[in-house]
Amino acid sequence: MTRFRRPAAQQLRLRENQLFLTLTIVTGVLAGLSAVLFALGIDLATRFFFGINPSAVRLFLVPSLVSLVTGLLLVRYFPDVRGSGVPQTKAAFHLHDGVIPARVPLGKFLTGVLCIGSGHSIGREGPSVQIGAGIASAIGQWLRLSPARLRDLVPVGAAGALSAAFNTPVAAVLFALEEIIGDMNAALIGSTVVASVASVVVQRSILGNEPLFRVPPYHLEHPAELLAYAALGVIGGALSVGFCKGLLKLRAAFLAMPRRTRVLQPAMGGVAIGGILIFVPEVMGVGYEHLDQALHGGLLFRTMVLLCLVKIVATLISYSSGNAGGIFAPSLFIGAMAGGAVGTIVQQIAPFPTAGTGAYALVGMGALFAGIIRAPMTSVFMIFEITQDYQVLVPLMVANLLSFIISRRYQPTPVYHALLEQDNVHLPFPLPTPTRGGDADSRAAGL
Amino acid sequence: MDHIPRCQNCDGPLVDGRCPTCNATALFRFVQREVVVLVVLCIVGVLAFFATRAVARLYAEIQERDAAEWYRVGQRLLDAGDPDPAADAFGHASTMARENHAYRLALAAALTAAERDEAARQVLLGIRSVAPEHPEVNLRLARLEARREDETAAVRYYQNALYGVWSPEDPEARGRLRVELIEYLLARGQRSRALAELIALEGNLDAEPDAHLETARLFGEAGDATRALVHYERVLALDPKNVDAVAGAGEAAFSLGDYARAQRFLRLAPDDRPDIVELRAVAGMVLARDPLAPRLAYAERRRRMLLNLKESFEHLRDCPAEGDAHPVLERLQQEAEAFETALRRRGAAQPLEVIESGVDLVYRIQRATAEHCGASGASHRALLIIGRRYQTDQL
Repeated sequence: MTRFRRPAAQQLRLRENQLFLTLTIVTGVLAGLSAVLFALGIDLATRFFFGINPSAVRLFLVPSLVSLVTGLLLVRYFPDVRGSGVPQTKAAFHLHDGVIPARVPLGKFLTGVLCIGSGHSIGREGPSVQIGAGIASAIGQWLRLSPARLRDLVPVGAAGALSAAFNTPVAAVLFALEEIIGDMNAALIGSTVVASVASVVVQRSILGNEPLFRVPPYHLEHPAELLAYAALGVIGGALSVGFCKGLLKLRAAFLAMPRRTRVLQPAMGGVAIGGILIFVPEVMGVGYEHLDQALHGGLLFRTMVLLCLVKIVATLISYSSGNAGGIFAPSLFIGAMAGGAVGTIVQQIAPFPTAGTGAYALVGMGALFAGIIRAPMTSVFMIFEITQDYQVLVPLMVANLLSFIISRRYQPTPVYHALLEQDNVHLPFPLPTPTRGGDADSRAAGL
Repeated sequence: MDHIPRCQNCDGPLVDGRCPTCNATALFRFVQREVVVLVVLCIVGVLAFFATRAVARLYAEIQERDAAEWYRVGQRLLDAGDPDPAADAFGHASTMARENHAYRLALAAALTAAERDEAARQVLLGIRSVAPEHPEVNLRLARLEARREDETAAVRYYQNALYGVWSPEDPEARGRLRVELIEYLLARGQRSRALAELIALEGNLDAEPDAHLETARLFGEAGDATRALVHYERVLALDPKNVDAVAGAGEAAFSLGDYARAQRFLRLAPDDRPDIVELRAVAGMVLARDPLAPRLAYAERRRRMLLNLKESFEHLRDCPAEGDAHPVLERLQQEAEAFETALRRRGAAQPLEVIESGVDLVYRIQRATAEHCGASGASHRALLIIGRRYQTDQL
């Protein structure tokens, strides 16, 4: 009588499936720790470079000089870590079977700390995503997982990192599904949830359970206020389109420069940023402190308008010149300032009772995030988890929807896709055609 | 001889084209490697956790120090009268040390000083959302709402502050706050609510002259002269030479209509207050000129009546009659002259009804001169009081 034995490869595959659950937990923990350490590294670097109350000379020199170092690192040693990290993570998932070289998370960590810590107006969440995804990929490669499993580990790592970066476990899962994978893939929901939970447990055990922003409770004071929030959504959409187009144009200009200037481009951005920081130091780095003030209605109208416009310019320069950093945090900052400014106007002219300007800053954050990142579900849940304020959901959804629609209408290609295309990387699914018909025309064209 | 296929690696027999020994070894090695990798990752994870926690604690300490420095900078700026840069400094401090309510309170104070009330209010509401029983936060919100003229919200926050958790190091803070609330209510004309708070206040008073003096003053403003007098007398029991209490007691007794008692107090009051001097004169005149006072001889009643008539004639003379007032004052003049003539003719034994009608006539003269000429003064006031007493009795 012969005994039936499974082939070894099949045994290995079964074992791999069992292993994957363990890996999601381990990946979530390590990605979460990396995100926390990354944020702490940036804060410590900022403290080291600028001190408590930096002089104008220091504000100018730090980004200029540090960018010389980061330019060298980005061109010579870590060429894959320029920019946000989210487009590169998407490319790794869709095009490279989840393979991310081990030097990428390391390089991103180092250059991200230096770039953001030296005052560049870019965010840390996008780099966190790439670091988390890179750690996940490195673990998978070390364990010699199958290509399918290795690929699946990438969004798991991304979700874990984003969960810790923002302290938003639900939004992190949605982001991984909505943005990295591009589909609510039921097979990976469980894994991303496990990693997100593991990550946020670790993050909260180190940093506590504080929401990122502590805002006073806001209420919808009058149903007619929804009109005001709708107007904010329209303005947010317009700003999103302007931001994306400006970013792509300026980045194209930098990319068109001779290749030998690539190592100096971050420093060119650094000099410009240094000049801006002398006059408006509030746009330095992620800017959460001033964002927090806007959410509390603690900024004047003219201050919010100024910060909104200058932050847009500073972020375009920092990102386009090739520094390592993302656009999440700047989106939130710009949205908060724009929302606060709109809220101030609404308070003056509305014939009905209105909420404080902080409520509009809150909704503005979500509107710009939805318009620029083009992840409306993530935006709604992210703002809710950041603030833990349920009352803001309805106005947020109204503004998000309008901003998303306007952004999609006038900037059909999502910004991450467009950035990849500038690098000659084409993701393997149809992109919306830039016609007036939008989705209907796309379907008619057989795409 | 049968040819048995052999494995090239281990020379073992093949089964179905596969070497069971090598497969088992490969599987074993894979599992062994897997276990090793997982163990290494767990160790790395644990080490990374502790390292990250250490870095987080280090950074938290740096933040605390920086926050304290920003707070000091903010205090200096606020003391120097620069509230806007002070608010920026306190903003940095409160962002770096979010659990420290003192920094946020300082931020709210700087914003209030910079007349950015709405921003200050949002900061205070933010603290209140996590510490609703914080008395200082509620107190500042009450003051802001008072400035916004939202009386309902102001009173609500005052009461929340009163019943908050106060520091045992400052046991009188709650009392001071209650006084502030009472003064706010009195300024808004909410006398009955102020009285309710005053009754709560007097239940917790120390045996200190200043405390009773303030309570008495507030009772007086709230219209409860009886309780005010009680507290003034308590002050005098503790500090007999307290001139404020003497004056206050005199005023309280006067408003209660106890002119004899009022005069006893007012005689002891200093002369540096014109209102007290006038009160003393009025009280004295009321006692000396009331012809209907009990236990008076007929002659004394007649004497007082004639003196009051004389005063009234002077008031009529000093009141130039013009327009519509002319016939009224003329008629009163004639009536008074006729009454005086009749009074003099009758002699000392006058029926009480005659004196009563005389008091009524004097009262009507005083009212007419006050209405048409704005007459005032101690004698005018005293004659009005005398007349009003008996008007009420007649009703």
